[in-house]
Amino acid sequence: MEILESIIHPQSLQRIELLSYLATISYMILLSYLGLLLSSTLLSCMFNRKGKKYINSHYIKLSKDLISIPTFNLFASLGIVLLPLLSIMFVYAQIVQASSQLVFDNLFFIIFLIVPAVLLIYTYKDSFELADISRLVNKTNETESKKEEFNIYKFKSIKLLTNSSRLAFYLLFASSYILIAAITLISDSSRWATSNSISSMLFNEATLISFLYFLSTSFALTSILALYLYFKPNSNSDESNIKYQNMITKFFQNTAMIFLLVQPMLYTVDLMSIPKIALANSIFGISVLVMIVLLLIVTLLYQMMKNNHIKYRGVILFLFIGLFALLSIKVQVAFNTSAQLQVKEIISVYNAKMVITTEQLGIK
Amino acid sequence: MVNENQNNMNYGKYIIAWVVLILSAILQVVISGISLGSNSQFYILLLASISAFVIIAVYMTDKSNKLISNIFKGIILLELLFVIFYDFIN
Amino acid sequence: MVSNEQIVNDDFKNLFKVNKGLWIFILIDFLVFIGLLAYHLSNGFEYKNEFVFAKSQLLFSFGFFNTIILLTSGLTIGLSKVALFNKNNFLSTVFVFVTFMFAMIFIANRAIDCTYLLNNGYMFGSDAFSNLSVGLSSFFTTYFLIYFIFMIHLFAGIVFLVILLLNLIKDVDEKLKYIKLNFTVVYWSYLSMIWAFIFPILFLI
Repeated sequence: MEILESIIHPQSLQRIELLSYLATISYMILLSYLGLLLSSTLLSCMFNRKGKKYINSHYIKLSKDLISIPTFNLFASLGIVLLPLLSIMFVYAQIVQASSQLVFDNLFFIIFLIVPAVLLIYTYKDSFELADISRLVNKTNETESKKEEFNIYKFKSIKLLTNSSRLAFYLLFASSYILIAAITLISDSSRWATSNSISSMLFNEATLISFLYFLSTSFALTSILALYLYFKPNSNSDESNIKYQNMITKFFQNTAMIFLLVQPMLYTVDLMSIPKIALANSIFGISVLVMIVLLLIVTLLYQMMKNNHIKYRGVILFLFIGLFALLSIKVQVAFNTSAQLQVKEIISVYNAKMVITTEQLGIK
Repeated sequence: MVNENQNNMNYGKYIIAWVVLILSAILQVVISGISLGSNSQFYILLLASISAFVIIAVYMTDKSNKLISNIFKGIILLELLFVIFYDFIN
Repeated sequence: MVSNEQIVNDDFKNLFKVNKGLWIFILIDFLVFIGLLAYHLSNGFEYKNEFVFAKSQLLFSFGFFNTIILLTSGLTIGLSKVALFNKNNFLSTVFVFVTFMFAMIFIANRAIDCTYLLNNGYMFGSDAFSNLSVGLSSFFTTYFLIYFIFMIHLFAGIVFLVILLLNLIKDVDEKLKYIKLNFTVVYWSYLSMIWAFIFPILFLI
């Protein structure tokens, strides 16, 4: 796309700095929400399957509750996914311009995966209700032909449930992987000229490690958020569901603990895979902070598991949000460091253009 | 998620609307550096109108003033149509 | 115990009465702002190069920072409404106070912005302003006009916030508290909505 060269204006240094801050905020929101969607969809599918296999109503209920976490409003979800993705795309287009065409193209391609994925997730969520209704209707005393008709509806609604969840998960998985691959490529300016094919971008050690780290963070985030939302203040806890509450408390605490314990190792390996061109002092400072925050989260979670309470879930959630902020800052710092040369070029073009404009306008 | 007291309002709606508004502002800033043909201002005004729409729908609308907030939403829509046709006429 | 839903439904007419005047004011005021912004935009079409240069002279990051502050203050005043609805008077007061602090930060930012533009000779009244070209002077005239009218609205909003804060601290009648809070929330959200148009038109387009 040579179009990029013609539509991008050269920018001043202040504007490029502002763009990199905006990209950090966009990353924080996009990566956390995408991770939440991916992990809650997978866990929900798993529990739905388990619930059908062992005919356990608690598993089905948990499956419904898990998918209701990220699905609050369709337009809000589409906005939270599309707006930061477009922002990141155009930020890179303005800072890096034509140096890494592949990244821009792939980020654009992700839109066509992510929008259907979000729509399918909402279909999956709504099909739970459809399946429940069709099961209820089947129990009434009706004629044989009507029973057959309702059987077909029941079968179709269950098929819709399964297919939409499966397809949504595959699309989300693909879009997350491509996004992580694009982020990893953009942080390594030495690969911009050589990486001309999608396979070189996707099948790369740094990409695989970053993606594994992203997955572990997503599962931890889903578990912590679910713990917070289910037991939030001012909510009526139904005493008849104490068995269900105990089950979900145990499950989410264990899941969060497992995925938090692997994080230091994955983070260290991810740090080692950052190319030298992208390394800066601040990345190591951020890494120290990340480890401290992880330690705090794991300690508080362990206290909750040991003393059998859920008092610290709010604090853990806010610490985790802080962790996501630090990870987004690390990604952007790596990009800023590796793109220094390109930024200097753009600023020099901008300054030259401003000199011409002031001369033309006859100012000063 | 389940177990919500019917007598309590939800903080979540306002926070999510705020996130969408911040993201919309970010995207407006980012696309202002790009020349999207003769009607680049349309995309920025479109995002501004969406932000205004979200503010009216979430922060300003209450059970007591649905009619007036709908009138306001109609005005924002009219303004957006005017911007589209202004570009088209020019 | 009377639920909060009942309070709202019972006083439907009274609430509507209080806000009807405010809504009419908002409607007329919004049209005035749109008119000013449309005039600024049309000047932009006439003096394209000068407007591009003028925008490069503005403190862009301050404008964006102001946007974030105003949107966040809109959030906090909305959250105060939720807190009061959930019968948490203390949290509601805290949120209103935070909104007030954000408004102060906005004013401080604006003061820095104005001082910078004044020192560079772009503010009307200064000697250097009279030497500017037609396009540039047109840009900065409408820029400051729109901004100052917005600041007048903001000061009025701050007065409403202070009155609300005093009412919340004094712990007056619950229905009265709710009415005053609703009024302030609608007005403050209106300011955020106006800014959602001012920022792109003055800084971006």
